[in-house]
Amino acid sequence: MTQNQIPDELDWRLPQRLAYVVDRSLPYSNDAYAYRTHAIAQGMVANGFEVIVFSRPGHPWDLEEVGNSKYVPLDTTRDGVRYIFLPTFDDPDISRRERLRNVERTLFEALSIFRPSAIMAVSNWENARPAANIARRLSIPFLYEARDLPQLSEGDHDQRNEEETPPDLNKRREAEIIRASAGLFAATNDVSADLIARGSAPERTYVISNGAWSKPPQAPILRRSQIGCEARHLLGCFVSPSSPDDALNLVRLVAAIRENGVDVDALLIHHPEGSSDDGPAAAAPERNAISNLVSDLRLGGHVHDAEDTSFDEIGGYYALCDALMFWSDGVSNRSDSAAALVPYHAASYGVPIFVSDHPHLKKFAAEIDAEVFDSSHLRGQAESLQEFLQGDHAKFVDELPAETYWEQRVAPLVSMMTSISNEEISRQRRQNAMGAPALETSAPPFDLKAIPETMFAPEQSLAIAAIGPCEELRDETPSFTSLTRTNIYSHLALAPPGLFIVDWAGLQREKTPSAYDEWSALWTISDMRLNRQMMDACRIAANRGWRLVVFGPVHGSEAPLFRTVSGLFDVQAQDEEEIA
Amino acid sequence: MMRVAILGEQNFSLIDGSTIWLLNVCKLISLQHDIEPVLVLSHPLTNDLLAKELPERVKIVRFEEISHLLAPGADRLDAASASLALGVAERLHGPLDRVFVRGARFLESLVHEPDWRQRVVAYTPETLPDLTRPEPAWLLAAREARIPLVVQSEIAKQAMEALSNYPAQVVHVVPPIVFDDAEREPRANSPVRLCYSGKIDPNYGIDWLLEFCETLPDQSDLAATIIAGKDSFRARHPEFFKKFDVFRSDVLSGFVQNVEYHSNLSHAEAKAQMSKAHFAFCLRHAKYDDVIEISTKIVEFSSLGVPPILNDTALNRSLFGEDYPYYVDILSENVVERLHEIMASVGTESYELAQARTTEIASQFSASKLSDKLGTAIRGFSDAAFVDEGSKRRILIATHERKFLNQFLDQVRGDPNIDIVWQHWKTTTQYGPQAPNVPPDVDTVFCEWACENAVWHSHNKRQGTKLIVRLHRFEAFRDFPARINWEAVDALIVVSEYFRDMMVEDHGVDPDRIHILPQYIDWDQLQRSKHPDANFTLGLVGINPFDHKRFDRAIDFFAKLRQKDPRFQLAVRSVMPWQIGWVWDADNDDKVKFENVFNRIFADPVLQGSVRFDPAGPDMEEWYRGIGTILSSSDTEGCHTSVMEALASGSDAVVYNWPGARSLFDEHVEDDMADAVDRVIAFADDPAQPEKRRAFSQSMKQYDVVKFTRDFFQL
Repeated sequence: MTQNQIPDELDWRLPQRLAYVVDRSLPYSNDAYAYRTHAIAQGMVANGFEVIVFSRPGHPWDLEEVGNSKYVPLDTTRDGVRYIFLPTFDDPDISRRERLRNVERTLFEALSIFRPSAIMAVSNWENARPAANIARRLSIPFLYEARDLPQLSEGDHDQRNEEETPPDLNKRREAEIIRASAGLFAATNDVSADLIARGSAPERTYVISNGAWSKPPQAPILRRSQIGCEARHLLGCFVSPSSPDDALNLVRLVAAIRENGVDVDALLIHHPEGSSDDGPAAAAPERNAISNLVSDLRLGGHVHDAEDTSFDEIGGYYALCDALMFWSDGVSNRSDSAAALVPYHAASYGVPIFVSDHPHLKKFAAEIDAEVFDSSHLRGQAESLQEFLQGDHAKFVDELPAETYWEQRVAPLVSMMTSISNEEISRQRRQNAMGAPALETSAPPFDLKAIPETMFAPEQSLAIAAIGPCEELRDETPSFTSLTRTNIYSHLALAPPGLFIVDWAGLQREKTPSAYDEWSALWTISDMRLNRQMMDACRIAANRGWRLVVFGPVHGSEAPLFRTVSGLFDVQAQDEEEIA
Repeated sequence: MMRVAILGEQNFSLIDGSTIWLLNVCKLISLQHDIEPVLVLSHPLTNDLLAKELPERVKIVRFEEISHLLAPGADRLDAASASLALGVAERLHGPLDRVFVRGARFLESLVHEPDWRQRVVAYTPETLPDLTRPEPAWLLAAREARIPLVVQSEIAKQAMEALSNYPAQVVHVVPPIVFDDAEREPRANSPVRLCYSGKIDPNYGIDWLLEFCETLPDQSDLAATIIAGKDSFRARHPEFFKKFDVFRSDVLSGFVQNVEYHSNLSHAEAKAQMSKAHFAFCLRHAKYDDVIEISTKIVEFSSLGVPPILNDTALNRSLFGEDYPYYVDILSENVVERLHEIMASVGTESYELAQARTTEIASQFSASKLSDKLGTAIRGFSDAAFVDEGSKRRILIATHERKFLNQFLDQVRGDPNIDIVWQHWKTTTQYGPQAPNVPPDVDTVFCEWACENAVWHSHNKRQGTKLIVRLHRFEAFRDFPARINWEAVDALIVVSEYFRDMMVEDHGVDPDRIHILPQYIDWDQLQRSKHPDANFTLGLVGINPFDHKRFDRAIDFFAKLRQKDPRFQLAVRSVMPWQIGWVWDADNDDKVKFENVFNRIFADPVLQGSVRFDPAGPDMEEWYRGIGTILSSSDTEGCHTSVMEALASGSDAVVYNWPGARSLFDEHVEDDMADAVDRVIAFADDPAQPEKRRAFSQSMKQYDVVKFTRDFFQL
């Protein structure tokens, strides 16, 4: 733990940096959750932002395959996205409250060092709450990414603590998170509607749907012979752990096409989506159903499996296929409302895709211009696919519409971060424009009157730079410079700081023409550029430590613009003989 | 029809200057027949005196219709809820095209909301910065987004431009509005009546008024009327209010002769009373002497033909003139004695002059005039739309740099028949990782700069779309024109005949497709009076890079001028070369050349102390007021916009004969700049100078942005 002095409010932040707080991430978790995180982060990087993903402190040391002894690089970068892992070793028996406090403590220290200009956290509230608290403490915007409906996302967090959470506590905590959020980003329209129903302002609620990758992970090149396929054509589908029907549908379809004399095999891709704690890709009963069907339809040797693939590797299997078939969106029942990542991931590789008229797939199909087939009509499906396979079809699909890609999907977040970033830049400019702390946040300037010499021998000690006659001082002061509009900036910027005097009373006495005519409109309403020059000169002078004095009185009726700089000047009435 | 919400922080149940302003804004906007006003109330309406005066056209969104979105018990709209309130307004009355906002908190909230930012039109009475305080957060965001800003006076506009860097093109002046709809009560010849209308605030000179009223029982030919608003700052001024309370009670009980006291009058009733007076008491204490905002009350009294008695300030003198007879120097004069002196002048020439002056002033603030101004500010343009009614244009602008489009965009922003879609190119040669895309409903692609954007679009033009390319200057000397498919380009905009000829001769572009439209200027914004010192001040804008701008040539000329006439100064407005990496670190000897010129400026006795460097900034309209003659010493230019702007402002010009210069600035062009020395000296003392300045200005009117925009949509 750092011993640094951590401010309660971040005085300086990196405008383009977003801290993305998640429960788990690549490379130790490679499920859809982790890939969506990576995809959103990549999309933001492509739009010019810097994203640092902070996994829940303690991850991945709490994974069995990692444990406490395996070396875990704490800071890695993948595809331009930076991943930070924060070791923390909790007693497994501590309460949820204590655990979340520990999480917040660790994250707070890390975020104070990394200084993002905003923090975004993924649902649910357990992951988000520490991040929201930190954002509040550091006075930076908090953003919430809701990936699922609340009752369906119970599993999307650390399962170590098995306390039962009353539904109303969950509801309350989620509502707090919503209220604390400057912007809310939902994975689907349904989730967005749910957020709004629970109190999120519509104009602050956006949708970041799953999208396709413009540069999907490069998988190893495979050959069909490696999977035992010798057929001329190959159709693929995904097998979900809890919805194996796609596999059965594909087996039936391939059988139907083969009856028409087309040499085609089936590839069952046991896809990686789902919790990293899921067991084998398909449970034994489902596998038995598939093998029984294969046997009944006499398709032995024509149905192949791609097992235990990860999102990184799966592209190789896509590329083997002439087309990919989707009867469902391939997700487990526990998140029916969430549009799956897999179809978009598949579409990223350009392999032709056929989708059924499943409601969730229709939107996807429209987005990528995929063929839609009637899921109830096997014969019709077979005829369509046969025509496709035997026709002059393109092996790969050209680019998808631009709005399908993650770079465009994250547009609402880009817009919000742009606003946050601009505000941060403006905030820093405001702070810096007055010469850093001198005029805005630091202690008031030192009162030079406390130094006796300034009272009794100022003209011998301090140089004087003056606008206007300053008759007595001009003759008696060895180091006296008359300021003109031409030399005022340079003199104040370069000369040793002393007294910067505006002899206002003297200027009023002078009759035109005089040597001071160029200052005659000073602080009046008739020459704003002159007033601007004076403001800039005062800025230079104050920053460099000059003491600003005006021989007055300065009446608002004659000098309405004096108030733009009056806070910097000591006003001395005409009858005062010494400079105090 | 444009639907506009009006949102202010004021409590519409109270009657004071700012709520009367709000009422008058609603009335003013409702005079614009293509604008539908929706007033969103930020407080509950407990008093409908002002609300009753709203025109029927003005729809109201009451606080009660919004309050369910606020925290329980909230008694006003807070900043965070501004957008929610506007959402309610949209739900009730339809989509809002604009939101006219007064109030720093509301502005701060809305300018940071992407959904609302582009629809905000801001109003601010506070226009002077204070160097010791940070700028308001809303101002920073509004300035960056070029949000239209309405201010009260030309002075306030100049202040916003020069002191706060607000773009001139989007600062609109709409002075306080007065509706001449009050029933005027007949004015009795006697007693001569002094009237005050406003809040009871000792800083508003009420102490002097009280003192004056105390002299009245002895004077049967003088009277006073007080139309009182709320008591202000009672806790801060206990002694004053102790005295005033007694006075008020005495008046209301009839113990004080010749003083009338009214309160809780409707606005119309108040104006009727005001119109009975011979003079208006508009004095304030010195605390307000540096205010540069025009008092609505002063304008109201003027519209009623009642000459105001005013503080002797620069602002009041600028409005009423040096010869207005009723100024009071509150610092040196006995105010009560002066009041008596003034009130004795009824029937004299001074009084007639004052009445004539107030009538003149009131006509400047007439509702019909100001309604159009406010309409322009809200709409974004004043004249007929650039596109025919009933036809829609959707223009995709493909560019890596949009800085020369700002004024054009300011013009089209308000036209509901024009949609602008942006295609941002990362650099002159690169779009991004994917190929560009032209949405199907775009009818015109406009390539601003003839770079790779033009190359790509000329080779990927979708049938049915129009392709317009604008070439500035540098592109002509790169390989882009050679690679553009000119057959596909429907219109090429160039900035001078020189570039037209180059494109025809070198690239075979069809001359019928080439349109010479120099970079536009905002001619109206440049019509400002010159400062006295402009006569002997030359100007030079931009010195980078050296070989292009030839700073040395300008200094050579200036030195020769100074040798003949040392009255002249040179103001250089530019980013310094060492502030631009690609200039200062260029692989050539420009750095040495710059150093030589600067060393000469500092060391040459002829030049010492005569060259002023003004930091770069956006307030060029104000800067040109101090420039009598502009210089252009470049080896090459497109159209040298700064010369066009300076001429439009009434400056003379000395232009080196760079290719294309004569086609734009003929009479000002010299093969050798030194030949212009005598001309410049003569012009400074020329009695015909004003007419010549006007002629220079008129010669540039053809390059006004409104004309450019009209021409663009005819291409």
